[in-house]
Amino acid sequence: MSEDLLKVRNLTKKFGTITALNNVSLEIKNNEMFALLGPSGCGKTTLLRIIAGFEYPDSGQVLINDSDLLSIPTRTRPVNLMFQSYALFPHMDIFSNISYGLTNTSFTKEEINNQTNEIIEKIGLGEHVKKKPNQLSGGQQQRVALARAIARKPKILLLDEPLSALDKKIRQEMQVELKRIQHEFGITFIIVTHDQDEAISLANRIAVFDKGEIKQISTPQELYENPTNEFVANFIGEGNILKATSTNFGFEHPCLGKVNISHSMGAGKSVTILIRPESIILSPATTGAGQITDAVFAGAKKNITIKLTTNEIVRVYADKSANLEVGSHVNLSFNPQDVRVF
Amino acid sequence: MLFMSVLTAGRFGGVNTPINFDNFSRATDSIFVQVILNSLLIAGATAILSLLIGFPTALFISRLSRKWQIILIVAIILPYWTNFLVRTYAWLVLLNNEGIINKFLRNIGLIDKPIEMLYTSGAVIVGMTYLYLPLMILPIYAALEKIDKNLTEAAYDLGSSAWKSLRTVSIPLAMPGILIGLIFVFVPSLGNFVVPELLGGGKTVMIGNLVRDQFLKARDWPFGATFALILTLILVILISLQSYVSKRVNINA
Amino acid sequence: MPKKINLSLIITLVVLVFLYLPIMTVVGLSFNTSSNSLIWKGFGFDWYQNIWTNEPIISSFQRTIFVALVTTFFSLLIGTTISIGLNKMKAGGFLRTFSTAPAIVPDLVLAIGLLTTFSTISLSLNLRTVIISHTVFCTAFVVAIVLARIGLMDPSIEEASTDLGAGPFKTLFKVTIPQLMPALIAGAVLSFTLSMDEFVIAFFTNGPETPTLPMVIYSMIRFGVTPEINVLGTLLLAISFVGVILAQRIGKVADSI
Repeated sequence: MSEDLLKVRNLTKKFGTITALNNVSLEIKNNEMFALLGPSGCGKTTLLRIIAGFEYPDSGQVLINDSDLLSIPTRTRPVNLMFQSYALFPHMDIFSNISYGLTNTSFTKEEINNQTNEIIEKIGLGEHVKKKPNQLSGGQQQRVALARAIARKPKILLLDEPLSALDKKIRQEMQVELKRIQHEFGITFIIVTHDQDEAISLANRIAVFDKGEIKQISTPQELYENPTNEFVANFIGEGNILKATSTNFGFEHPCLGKVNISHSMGAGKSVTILIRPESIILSPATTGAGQITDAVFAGAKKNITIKLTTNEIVRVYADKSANLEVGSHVNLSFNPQDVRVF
Repeated sequence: MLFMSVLTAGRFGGVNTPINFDNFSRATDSIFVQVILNSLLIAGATAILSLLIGFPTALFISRLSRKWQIILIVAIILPYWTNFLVRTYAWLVLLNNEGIINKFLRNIGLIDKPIEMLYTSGAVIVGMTYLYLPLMILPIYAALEKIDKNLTEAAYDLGSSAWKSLRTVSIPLAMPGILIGLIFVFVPSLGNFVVPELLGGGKTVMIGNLVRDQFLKARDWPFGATFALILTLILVILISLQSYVSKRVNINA
Repeated sequence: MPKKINLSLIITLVVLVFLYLPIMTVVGLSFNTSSNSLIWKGFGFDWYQNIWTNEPIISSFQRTIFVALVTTFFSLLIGTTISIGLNKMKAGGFLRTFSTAPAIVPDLVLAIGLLTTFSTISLSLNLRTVIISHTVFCTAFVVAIVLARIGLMDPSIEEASTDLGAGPFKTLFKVTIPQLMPALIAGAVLSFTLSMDEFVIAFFTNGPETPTLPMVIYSMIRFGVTPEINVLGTLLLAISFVGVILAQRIGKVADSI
């Protein structure tokens, strides 16, 4: 367990009558890229601000290397934050921005200059050192924010919605760049985001938040393939969520019939099932389980929308050559292993 | 902050003990009522006159190119930054019987005896309009400048005459600015005692003069404070009215 | 273009003449060599030379500059402190209105309020009371300007400074104040100009031995039209114009930082 760098234990924080964090616990390992993912107002930013030192929890513990983090003053915590707005100092040039954190240490002027130059070199900002932040593009500003935040060599770098302000192309560039820098500097990254794509593409592990609680902590693949509850199933990736009734061996759905799966929840209960669009195979039928209402060409595949006789809407990725016309009736089949029941 | 609380406590309570309402009944004597009404009239006339020449000016400026808008707005603000005594004095020079205007009129043979312009209510109104006109033009300009140009163009496009589009589009949308302008001009006009004295020659007495005289000549501070309180009350009522009407206008628009 | 535009053009031109004719008249007459300022005798700088030997004008001018400088210093200090405090406290509308009230209240009401306060606490009237009064008055303007600027500031920037290890003082002087600089400069110029030109409050809260320049001008005007006022008016005009232009230039430079 000593490989856990950060431990959050039973953290609760209320703002007036609103509970931002409700008994949250998690562990983050050394050198991990960890994402806190959830819709806005789910409490992920509050957790970030508690770790950074801008909020204090009502109860609970935060430990770093098994010692108390909350008792360390904000300014001396081995944690730095890259702000969503970047929060660069507009009146200072890029060099002064990046070296600012080092000037608050006992380093000599020469050491500060050397370390700052080293970071500027590694992050590729060499030609901009004399410029002011507003003379740089969004992507360059983010590099400055990143350089400034890692200049103090924190144990943990917190990133608040790091890619949200960038356009798509620079976003992909920065994803690669963030991973490279994390690897090169060996700093643990905690990323807060509401964007599942961002979390999935960046993080080794993700904690999914909803209404101040953690719904699931797992690797991106696990979250996609084995969500443990309806919220995660809905939030991560595209999925078809249908209402069914449990049986002794699985579940029963009016359009899909009885399906046997490996575990049972007991008979006669109403359950929710998840089937991913790529897991469904369509076969034409004269009076099928549903009717195609929309078929959109999307490169390598076709996105099919089906209205079941239960009025539920199902999305399916079909082969682009499949002969599936709007209005035709279809039956749905799938491998029971690909279905999740909650 | 501390000053302020001391000040509000001291302003009317400190000298006014024991508290009584005698001063208020004295203030309702017909001569003082006359002064108050007269002040309201002069300040009102100043505000209306400022509006009548300020609105077209603001309208004109708001339709110029960005560069010319800035040049003209600076030109309008600049005089406001000069000492207000000097600006009042300038009218003393202009309106004098031996002053430039009378001389000019005599030289072109329009009159042979100087017109008595100085020391009239008219001089007071013109002088105060001069002092506070920028305070009318700026808020109206700010309001007009924000109006989407497409709106007035749309009005033309739909066949409105210029006057109708002004009446149905520009004026209603500029209403908050017009109200602020009216307050900005009316408030300092009402409390002014320098202009009535210098340009009105003591013949035009306003609330400000009463307050000044009670404090510095009659040495009856509580009575002076009573007028100041009346002055403040009038202004508070007006400002509340303005913010109320402004909100109504905003909801309707 | 519709006809109405032409009408507003004419009114605008009339307004500009209306605004500048009186000032220009004063400027023009200041170069009159006659001792009766209404009768034009000839062009010259006679009165400009005379004014330097006019002891009451020179000493009142010095007093005015002194009052304006001290007022600017204290208004800036108190106003900035109040603004930063209000912002930190996330104070609501009431406190904000309360601290900017002296800028809205008519100067006459503020003047007699201060006068009664001074007499209640038995403070004798002199330049000190004028400075206190002008500080109350100008602080309100500084608060209004600085608060507006703080409102535009990204609150994360101060947090970033703390996050990077700076203490509260370093954050204040290295991050917050530099960002407020345009507002502080504007506040300083405004305070100085307001105090220098201010008459009503000074008139009520000053003692008779130490008149400020506007008070001297006032008593001169009451005796009628004199050549000295033309010259003084022109000089004050020049100072104000230079001040406004300077403030704009500095504002632009500071904004670009």
